[in-house]
Amino acid sequence: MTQRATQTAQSEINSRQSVLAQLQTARLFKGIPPHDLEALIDVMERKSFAAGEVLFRKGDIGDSMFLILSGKVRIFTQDAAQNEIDLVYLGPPRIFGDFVIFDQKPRSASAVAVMPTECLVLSREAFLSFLPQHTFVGLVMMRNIAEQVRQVTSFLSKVHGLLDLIANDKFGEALQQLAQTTSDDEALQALVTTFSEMIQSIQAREAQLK
Amino acid sequence: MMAQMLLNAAISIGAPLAFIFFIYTANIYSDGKFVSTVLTSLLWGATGAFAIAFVVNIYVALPLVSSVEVVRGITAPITEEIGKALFMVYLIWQPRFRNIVEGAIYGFAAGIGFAIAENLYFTFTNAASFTDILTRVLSTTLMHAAASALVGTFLGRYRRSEARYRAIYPLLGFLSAILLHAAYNNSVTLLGEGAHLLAVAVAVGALGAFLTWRQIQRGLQDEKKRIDAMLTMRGVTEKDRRALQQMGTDAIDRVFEDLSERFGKRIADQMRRLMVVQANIGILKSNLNTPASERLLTAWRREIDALSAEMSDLQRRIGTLAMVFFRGVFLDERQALYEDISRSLAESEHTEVHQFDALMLAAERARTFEPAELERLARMLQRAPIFQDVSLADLENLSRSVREIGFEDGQLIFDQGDSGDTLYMIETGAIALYRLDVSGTERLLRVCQVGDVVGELALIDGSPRSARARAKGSLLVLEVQRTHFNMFLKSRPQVVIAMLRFLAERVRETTTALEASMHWARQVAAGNFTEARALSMLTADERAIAPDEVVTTEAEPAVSVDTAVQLPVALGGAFGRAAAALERRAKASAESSKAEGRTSIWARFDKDADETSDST
Repeated sequence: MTQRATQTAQSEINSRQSVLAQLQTARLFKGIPPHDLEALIDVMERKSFAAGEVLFRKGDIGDSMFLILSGKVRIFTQDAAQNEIDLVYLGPPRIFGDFVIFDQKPRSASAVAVMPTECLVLSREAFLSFLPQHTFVGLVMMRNIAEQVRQVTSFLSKVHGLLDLIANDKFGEALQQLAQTTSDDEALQALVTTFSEMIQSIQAREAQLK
Repeated sequence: MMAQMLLNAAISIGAPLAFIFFIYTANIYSDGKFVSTVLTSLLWGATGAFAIAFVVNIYVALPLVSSVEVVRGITAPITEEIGKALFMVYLIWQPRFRNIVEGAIYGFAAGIGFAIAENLYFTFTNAASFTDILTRVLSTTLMHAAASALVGTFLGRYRRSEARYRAIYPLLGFLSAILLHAAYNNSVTLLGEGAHLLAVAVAVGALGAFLTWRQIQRGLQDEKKRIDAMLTMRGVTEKDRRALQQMGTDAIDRVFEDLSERFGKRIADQMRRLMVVQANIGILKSNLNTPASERLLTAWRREIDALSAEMSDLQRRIGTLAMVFFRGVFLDERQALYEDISRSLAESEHTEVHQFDALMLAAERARTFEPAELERLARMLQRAPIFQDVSLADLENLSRSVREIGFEDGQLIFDQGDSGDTLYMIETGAIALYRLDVSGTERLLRVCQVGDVVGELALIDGSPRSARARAKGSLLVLEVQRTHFNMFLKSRPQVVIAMLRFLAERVRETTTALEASMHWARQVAAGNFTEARALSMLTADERAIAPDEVVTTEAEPAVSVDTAVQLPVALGGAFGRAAAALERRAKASAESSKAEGRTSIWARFDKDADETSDST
């Protein structure tokens, strides 16, 4: 019996370690000292969802951040005709819905578990009671988000430049700039690809007309 | 007779247990150590210690000296004090032994346990009156508890001491305990049983308690010196000191690591918080004596109330034992260590001390803040998007660090590439932002007008300036410095939340802009130019796009001109222009293919590309 207790304790430590490692890789939590992250994990709640169970719906007032420990979650939205449009499938160790713990904005999409899924949930309430004794964590998060804003903004200013070039008929320059632009970020790289495809399709169309 | 005996037995057990119950209710241990230490000590005193003393007194000492008086007056005090101390030695040398006070508690419990067994034995072997038993039980319990507590205290002092002659402590402990014990026993022989013994026991108990208290004070002084040395790094070689500083360990962190090892992480964290809370209450109380608006004073008073409530809650959760240590070491009348600790705490990056307020209290000596002026500044700041969720009271507080600076026409405010460490809000005049090209010539990006804010993100992350800023006309700005703002944030979670909200909103905006760009590109690729042009309506705020708008009325929110904040807005216009250009081009290409048939549009693209590659 003692052995079993030890085993349980050991596996708890292991799972804590892996949760810690997962949080450390998330953009929002980067650079937070392990000591503070562990305190944050202490105020998080483990929740299980059955296949098909809804985590939240589009338009709900958001109040928690989710970290996927196991399973898979489908993020989707609905068009005017109530057809579901899949946005993305998320698995461990992804974090989603993180910013609602700061401002309680309505959810911009719905989330449903597609298989039995286990999540670690940080509620706004828990975060607010955690912060006064760990303001440093808030400061690190601020820097992390600011960095993200800067990264996307500098990318968007490139897009801005590209649009200006297109508006001024400078297609050659636009093409050249696009060829030089790459990004580690999935969303940003997707934009580069879409712009390239756009130009290719214009090229194809105009070539056809010729 | 039987009933009398049972009553006597009940007193023998009940009275001492009342003492133990007192320890329990005094919340000495806030964790589960009470059973594993205090009760086992009690049990040891009642069983092992009593058995050893019984055997040695009756079967060894008595045959040797063959005098009951000698055994009672000399040998019994020695064997009994050693017997009771045996389990204490084990407990005190456990790694989880925390401090000298604990030694006293173990001794106290062991003494009480021993008294229970001794009096039970006496009750069942002697017929005595109810009052005699009551005096006997109370006085021997007092004597045994006092003597053993003294031994425990001295053993605890020996365990924690780093002095060269520390071996003297256990010797002194046993010596004084045995003397007290012998004094009591001999007075029993001299004066006989009776109520007067209670007076003797009280005297013995008082003397024991006094000596114990003195030792505890001295032991806590030892701890204080040790922690003081850790903080000030006295007695640390220059090499070690540099190594520690390179590791980035703050002195205060080492102190708390030390406390964690002894009291456990939970209690050490609570002690740290208690120090922060106490420091903040002190700072806020000083704040109350400075000129401030009623709104700000009320906010401070509310915060003092909340912190006081938290303080009493923390004291309860820390528990008496650790609090005795905490008060003795950190909060005694000699303030030096407390000040060292408070300063180290405030300097540590991991802190929630109101360092900003402390700085402002110091600045207050040099200049006075007019409440009305602070309110005027705060109301202006609140119009900036970054401060819109921050309360007016907090902004009035922050305004104590805000400076008003004037610039002449054309004067440089900051240069491209400078480290961004200030936010500027325009009070009168305008700021021109320039981007420098490769050759170093200035290209005008935009002109910021009255009420606009420059450098919001720089205030948060201190990143280098992406443009050069010059005054346009005679300029007056409010300046918020990053160093002050960071200090201000550290101890104000509600402002941190407001910043996180502001940033989250920025991320949402950039995400929307990113998605809109995607959508635009797809529509253009599919030839839906009308749809693509509609994206110029992306944002509601058209003011930011209009480059030279001058009117800013008092009531309107200020517009941020940080590139990061206004870019998604500017994108809207670019979408419309680019889509229109592409549409024109598509039409032209369709017409030219009809008219000329063979002229390739893409020949022009290639020509463009050649020209640009030549020029770069």
